[in-house]
Amino acid sequence: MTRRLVYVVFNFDDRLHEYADEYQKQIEAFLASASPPGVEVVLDIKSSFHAASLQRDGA
Amino acid sequence: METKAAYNELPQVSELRDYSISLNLPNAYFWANDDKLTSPYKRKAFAALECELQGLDNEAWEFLKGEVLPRLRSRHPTRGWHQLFDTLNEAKGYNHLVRIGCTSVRFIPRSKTDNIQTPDLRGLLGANPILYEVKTINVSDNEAIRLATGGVGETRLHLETPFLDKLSSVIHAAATQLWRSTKI
Repeated sequence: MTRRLVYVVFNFDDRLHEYADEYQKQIEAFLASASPPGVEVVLDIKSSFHAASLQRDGA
Repeated sequence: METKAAYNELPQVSELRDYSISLNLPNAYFWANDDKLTSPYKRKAFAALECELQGLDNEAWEFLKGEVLPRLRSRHPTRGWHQLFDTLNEAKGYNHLVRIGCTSVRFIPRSKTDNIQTPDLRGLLGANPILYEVKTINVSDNEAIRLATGGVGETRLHLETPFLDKLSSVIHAAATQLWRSTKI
């Protein structure tokens, strides 16, 4: 049987991840009732290279 | 840190950097005179990226590189190079599949047929085929504009309804994509 997974990377406005643990609890509670059937959701809450995506300067 | 040392420690990121510099374009992500790999603060994020890229086998790296290179020059006015990093995040998905014990993990080439979006990855977990989609939810429009123009940031203790609506939309779109791909 085929399994289907969605891996979600979160780049929050809170770039220092000060509230990431609170956000994770909120997201898990939300997904408990809002996830589509037949799909497993994997959360990447504290994205390890989010800071690189925010670097806008060329030098 | 000297550039040469950075290149030795971050070989795959350096490959991307070399290509970006060769473009010689103002909208390229890396420039020859930047300090992204030499500044200790900036380098930390690229070391994390290198760690993910090192997890790919050669075939996966060549595939992902082919997807990433065109995005090194794709700069959004307020969101910067988010397409580049959304694509690089697919390496995290690959590594997650490997970590949970999947074998035969491969990126799936994009469909050339309009209106059909293929999943990003596939693998085998025991006898079970796995279809896998990687999604990135980026900073809000307000934060993207703030980052582009400067200003004081605002961090909220709780996620608000628009964020959760967006999350729901992203996951349902991914689910539809995965269920339509039964023949892969």
